[in-house]
Amino acid sequence: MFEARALTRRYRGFLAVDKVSFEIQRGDILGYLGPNGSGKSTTINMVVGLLEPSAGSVVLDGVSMSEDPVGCKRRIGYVPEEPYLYTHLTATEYLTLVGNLRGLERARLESRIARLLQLFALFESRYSALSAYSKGMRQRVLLAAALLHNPDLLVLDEPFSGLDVSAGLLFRTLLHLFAREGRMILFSSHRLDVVERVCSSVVILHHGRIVARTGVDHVRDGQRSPSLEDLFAHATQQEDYTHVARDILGVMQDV
Amino acid sequence: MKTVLAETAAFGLTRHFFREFFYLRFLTDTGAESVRRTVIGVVSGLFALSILFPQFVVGRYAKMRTVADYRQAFLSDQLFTICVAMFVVGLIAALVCQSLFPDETDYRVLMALPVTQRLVFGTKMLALALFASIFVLSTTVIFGLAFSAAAGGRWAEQGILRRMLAHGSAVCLASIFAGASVMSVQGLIAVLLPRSWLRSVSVVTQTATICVLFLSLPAIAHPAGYAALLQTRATLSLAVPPVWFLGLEQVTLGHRDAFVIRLASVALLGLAGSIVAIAGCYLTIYRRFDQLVLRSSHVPWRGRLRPGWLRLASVEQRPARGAIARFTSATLRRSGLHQVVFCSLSAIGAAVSINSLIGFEAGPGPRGQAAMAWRFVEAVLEMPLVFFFFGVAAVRNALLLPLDVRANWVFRLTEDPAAKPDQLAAIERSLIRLGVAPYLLVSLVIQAAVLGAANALLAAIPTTLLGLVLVEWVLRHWHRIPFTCTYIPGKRQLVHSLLITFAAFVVFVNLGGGLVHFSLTRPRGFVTVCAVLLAALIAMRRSRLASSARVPLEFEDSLPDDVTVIPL
Repeated sequence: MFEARALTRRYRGFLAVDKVSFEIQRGDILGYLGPNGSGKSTTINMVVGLLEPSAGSVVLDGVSMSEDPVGCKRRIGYVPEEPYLYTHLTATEYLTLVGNLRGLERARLESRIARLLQLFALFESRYSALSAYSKGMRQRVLLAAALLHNPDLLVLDEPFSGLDVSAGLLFRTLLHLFAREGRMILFSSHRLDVVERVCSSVVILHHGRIVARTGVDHVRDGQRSPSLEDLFAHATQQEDYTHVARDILGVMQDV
Repeated sequence: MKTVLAETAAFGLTRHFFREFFYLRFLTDTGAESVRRTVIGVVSGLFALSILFPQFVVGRYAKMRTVADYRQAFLSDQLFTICVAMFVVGLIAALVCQSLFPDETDYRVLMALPVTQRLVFGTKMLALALFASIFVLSTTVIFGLAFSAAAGGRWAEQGILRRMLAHGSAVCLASIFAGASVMSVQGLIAVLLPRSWLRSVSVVTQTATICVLFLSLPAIAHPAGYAALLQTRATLSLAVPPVWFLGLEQVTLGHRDAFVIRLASVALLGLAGSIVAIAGCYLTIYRRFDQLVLRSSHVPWRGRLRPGWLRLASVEQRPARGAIARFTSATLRRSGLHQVVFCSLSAIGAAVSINSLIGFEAGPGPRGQAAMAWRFVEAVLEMPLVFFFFGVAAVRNALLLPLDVRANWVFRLTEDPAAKPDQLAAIERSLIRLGVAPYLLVSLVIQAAVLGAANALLAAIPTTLLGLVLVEWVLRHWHRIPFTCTYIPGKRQLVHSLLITFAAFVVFVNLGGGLVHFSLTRPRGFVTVCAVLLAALIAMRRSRLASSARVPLEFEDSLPDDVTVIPL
């Protein structure tokens, strides 16, 4: 089980994340939602160990990240929101770099990279530098890198960004099978429709605090419960944007 | 007026393009601020030089006893100032040569706005002219006007105004020629080469230009030799551009010798040719902007990249060490910026080495000859140490510069204190392979030719140990994966940094050279020197490895603490 316990992060007095707690059981896919600036990326950076919490802890199967950061990081796969990669490397070179840094055995690493590149339809481009890849191709490289070491927890920040329809379908199916094997997924996205299809439960963050949590089965049953979009709008106090849109048009006409 | 001007698109674009020349994309804001401070320091230093240099010249000419001495010294100094001006402007042009023409970003961003292509090209050229004029005018004032104003004395043949006009215009035109030549080469590459070659050829040309400029420093430092080319009317003068402009100056001063007129004609033809080439390139790019410029910058590698380093994986037993070694190797082979830094500093090392081997003048009599031979042997023994100093600095500085800093999360995510010694071992290996080993081989060949094979092999042992000690010294506070940490250059004042570097160079080269020489002259000395160096190497290495286990990897460069706490 993965637990975020009262995670808090301050930046020079500004409280970016305030006592955020949630759990992911084995086999669960937790959707992590929130508007821009709500503290999602900060939380994710703390979960994967890129950022140290000001208070609180990240616990993976009873082991705290602060006590054994290397051990915890070894069991986490991560896809960042932006495809930040060393674009002068080829896909094979990048995956070998990641595999070596994760201490994977050479023989197993080479065969695993070759198979992943084939399955992610990147094998033909394996000797091209990542700078020549499209956004979707880079995203697939990041997904392959995150899965390379067979992680227990997969942390995905906007993983469908840039993927075409077929890659999106493949990846959605992959996530379901991955979770069914008893692994855990933290899935952060702005795409409410995707979250509704992929996740088993959702947590909604606003101004650094959790303002709602629910099972997705609830919201899927639109007859009895509000939709995820309604829930999100209500929880994050989204205003009616009609007058803002009108104001924008007004500004345009002033010119 | 200022407000009206600021509101025009032409002003905005010119300002934008002008600022672009000073913008270093690989630095953080703090790093860029530090670079600005450093640039101000350099410019201040140059202006200080403009005050000191004439004083030096006045003192020198006052001591001249004959008109022949004065003429020879004056000619050498004229050539020296022309060379320095050309070197400065040529180097600046080579450093910014990737930004000399409108590129893909300009095309994609500006062509979508309601501005004409003519305006974009016009403002880019104007910004370029403004940028170039800073350096051309500075060098003209410092090396042209200030020098010729001071270079009078009792033997002076022309009046001060005529001297200033002649030398100022020669320096100005020579520096324009240097900048225009570099620019025209880059322009021709952009226009003529196929897309797949463009980026690599452009970077290689840039690196080669910078290397050639640095390798020309020994020649610049000894102008008397080729000032004689003009005096002897040697045809070889036609192959040395600074001599063309010296010829042009002579013509301006009233000399009507056919050879000098020929040199002046070549100077003007060369200048006109490079300007015409630039204009032609600009015009071609202007007419075929969409076809040419879209391929002219940041062109990704689309071909197959040689996976040679993957084969190295089969012999690599330690994954962490292999990962860093291959990452370092791939980056140094493919990143233009890192190649430029590495090759430039290595070229400076080669230039300083060559400089130390030439220009010996024998004193009178056999004792003078013996002293010269002695100094030459010393210079040959010190040569590998000079190479090491600059070679290791070249690798170190190339590894310090970040590449895609935001991509370093993969190293942060996989950071493991247990793997850190292996990762640092890969960096140590890179420093030895690129900063010590090749120079040791080159020096061994030269030393074998000068000192004999046996002496060269004997000298190689303490020399190697000195190289390894230098690597340990450089790595003593190193806690970074290459290219992954933000970088703030110029943390110290420029003068402070230069003094420390110079002191380190003098101590390492002179003390090291002395030790090598001592070890060759006495058998006991050899054993003692090697034992001391080996002990120092082991002690430094142990201390470094002990501290490396305690300190985590650095991913953020930081300035030294502003406030020093005094423990009272």
